[in-house]
Amino acid sequence: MTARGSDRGRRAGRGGAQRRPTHAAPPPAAQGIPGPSVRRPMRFPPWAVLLAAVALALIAWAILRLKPSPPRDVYAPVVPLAAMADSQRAALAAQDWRGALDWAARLRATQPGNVSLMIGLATAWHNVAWGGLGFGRARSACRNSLERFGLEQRSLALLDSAAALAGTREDWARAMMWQAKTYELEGFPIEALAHYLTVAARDSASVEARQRVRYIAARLRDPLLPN
Amino acid sequence: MFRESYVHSIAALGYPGARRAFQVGPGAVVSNGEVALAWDLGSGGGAVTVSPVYFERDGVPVAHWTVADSLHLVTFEAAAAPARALGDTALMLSVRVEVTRRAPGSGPCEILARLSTRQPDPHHLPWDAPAPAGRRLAWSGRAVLLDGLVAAGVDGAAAPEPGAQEASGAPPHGALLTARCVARLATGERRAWTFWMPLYRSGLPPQSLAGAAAHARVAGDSRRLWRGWLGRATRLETPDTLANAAWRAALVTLIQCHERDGGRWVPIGNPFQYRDVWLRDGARVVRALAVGGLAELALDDARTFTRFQLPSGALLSQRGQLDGTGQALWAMDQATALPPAPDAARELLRFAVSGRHWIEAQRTATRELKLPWAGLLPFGDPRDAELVRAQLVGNDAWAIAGEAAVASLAARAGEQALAREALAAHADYRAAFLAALARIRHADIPPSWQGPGRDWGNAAVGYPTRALPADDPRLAALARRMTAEAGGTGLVRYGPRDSLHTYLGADLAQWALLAGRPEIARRWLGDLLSHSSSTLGQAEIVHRDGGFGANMPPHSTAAAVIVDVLRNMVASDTRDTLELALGGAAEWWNGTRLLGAPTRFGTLDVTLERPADDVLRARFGTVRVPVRVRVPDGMRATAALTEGARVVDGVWVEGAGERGEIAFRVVPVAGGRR
Repeated sequence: MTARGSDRGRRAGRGGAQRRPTHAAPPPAAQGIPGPSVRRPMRFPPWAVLLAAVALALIAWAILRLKPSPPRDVYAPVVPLAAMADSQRAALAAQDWRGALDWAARLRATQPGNVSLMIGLATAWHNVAWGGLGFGRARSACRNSLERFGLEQRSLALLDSAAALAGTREDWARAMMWQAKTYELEGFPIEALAHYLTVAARDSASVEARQRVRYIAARLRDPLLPN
Repeated sequence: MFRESYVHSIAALGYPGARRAFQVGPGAVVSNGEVALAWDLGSGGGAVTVSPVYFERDGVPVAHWTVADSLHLVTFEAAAAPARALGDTALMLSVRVEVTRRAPGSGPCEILARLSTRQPDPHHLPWDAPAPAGRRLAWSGRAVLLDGLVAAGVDGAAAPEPGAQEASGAPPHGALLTARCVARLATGERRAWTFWMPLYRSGLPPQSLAGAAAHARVAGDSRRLWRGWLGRATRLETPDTLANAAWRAALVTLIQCHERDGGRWVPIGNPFQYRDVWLRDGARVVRALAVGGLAELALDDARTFTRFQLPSGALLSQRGQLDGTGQALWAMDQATALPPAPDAARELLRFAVSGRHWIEAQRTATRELKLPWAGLLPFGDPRDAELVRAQLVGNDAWAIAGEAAVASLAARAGEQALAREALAAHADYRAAFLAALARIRHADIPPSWQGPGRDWGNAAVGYPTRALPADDPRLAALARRMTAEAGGTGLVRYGPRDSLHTYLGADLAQWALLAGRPEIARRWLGDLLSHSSSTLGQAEIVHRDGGFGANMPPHSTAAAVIVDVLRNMVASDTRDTLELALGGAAEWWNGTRLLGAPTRFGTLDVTLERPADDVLRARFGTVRVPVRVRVPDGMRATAALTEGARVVDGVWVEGAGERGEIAFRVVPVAGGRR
């Protein structure tokens, strides 16, 4: 499952609407054999045409009014990007996972295809899944495992998208590493190993990936080895 | 009233859909987790005794208890029910307190109702409740406001006392308010007051809440609704009244341990501290609900489990618990098998097939990586249960059960090719499992292939996963070792020697039924019920002295295994034959009825009866599979009385399912042995 492409902008339409003739040509009259009846084009008095026009205008107005307006961009960058990033960093430092998630979502909304911001949002979801929230006391952030797992699934899907859309090797490696870490944390050593191996194979400079490969491979052989 | 085995008498008043439950006890106290309402008898009658809490005779969870001194007897009746004004995630609690003067002559009686933001231990602060410190209680007429919202109400005849502790701010031990209930009573005379409490604080006007809390309405609704739930469930009636009550109490726990999430039912672990979803517990709940005739809940729970599925097909509710995939697949099969539901099977099949692919991918990976235990699942680190990072035997056993479940689901859904594929994979996996067991040369079945760990998933190898057949001697050895370590009870221990586990031994009890050792199962059940609360709820782990710490009863998995064991004692569809009376208790033949029991072979009404001293008869309706009846302990079958039936070794009587009954002649066996 990937979220690939789900955030791409809409495509522009192909030009304007095709024009239609304002008046249809009258049907040709039948030649030779008289038909049972030849329908003549109906003629309406001017007041009826005016009434119909007003009615059409009213209907159009009603349709436009009832049609939901496009969602307002609640994350419009009224705050400079650098300030938003600073705010996210401050929230992370304070372990305010919800605050960090809010800032990550705002940042990402400014540039939906930005891989770094996708990773930032994915890891923010992950942090909320695992961390606690400010509630005046210690408690889990999520009410139950369904909520927690739902956030983790969203995080993994977005990381998968980020890896697919990454334009640089560094961005790709970061997205893959975060997926690997998530799988490792969730207790899936085979999946984690596969992701770390993929990074190590493509990015020979990734020391961390190679370290994690060695660590997991050793524990797959002997799970009782110490951490 | 049943005996209270625990140090503290605790009961839960909840209802499916509610997001919390009221806690009754310990002592004369009720709580919604945020505010507690306690009663003291203040009339100078000397030593006060408080009874354990108990539910009603028919299992309806309306709580009763008494407080008594030498002068008065106070009876309490507490009921919780949904109230339209509060929405479908909350409840209203109403408590009727009635005092009777039992001393000669007349005299004053005083009951103090105390409201506090702290409650006596053991208790659990709900996930959605703020910390108690700094919260403020205040009177508003006869309603109690907690931080400005209505949290409780007292009887119109109770006299609220000024909140003396309000003036000093939030006291360190929680805010405290008192209402005084005073009466002058003659001998035998009675006086009653009522109190109420919503599950969550409410912004509704106190008068409106008080109206919704009228005791007759709340208690009446509670009885009506719960009788409705229990009326829809399978009925079990045996000559053992404790077993009958345990069945109903377990159903009540299973039903109330349900929340709604995403439009579906969700099984939770406990009404208090485990309001969360675990696949390992939820799967047992699904099985028990299906067995108990509550298919709608069971199926919804199974559907909820699909939300735990990753794109790889793995199903995981808690990190590192790799048994979740097999358990979820097994639960999907159970929910669609009891009774058979092909449409539901088709609906869940794609999730199950995906789960099976994950299992196979893991097995392939451990082979390709040439791991020491190849062809099995990789290590798990459950941080619970086995408490070790290792390749866990239980994970493989559950995955094997998952493979079998997919085969069963696929066949039910009419996907024969998928069924054959899953069956082949199941056979291959079982072969790898048996080879691994042969390789370790362990006396029984260890928790992990590497050896270490606490006994947990390995107890499920015989039942319900059936990774090993019941006659495998290693299962008998495992049961012997685990019960021996518990030292003199039919239960097993978990961790320290003084800690008994209530439901962990259930799979061994089930194995015992299948292995023809019903005395082991009966002993486990008997000891479990003697380690239960007075409302027949079970804590998860019990100290030998009856303490359970903060791990309060009732636990839904304990309830689930009670239902499953009791049902299988009467009618078991575990194997390809309908097996009756596996429990082996002679007295159960004096009139046992299991009515409306869903099985893989259809929904059955089973009766065990003794029409004559030397004749036993089992009736079961009509099934298309062979039937065999276990002759009770202390007897031997001498002749089959039903046409086409036959006696085998004096222990079994086999017959055709189409006959609908099997009757046979028995003789007592000297010393109870055959």
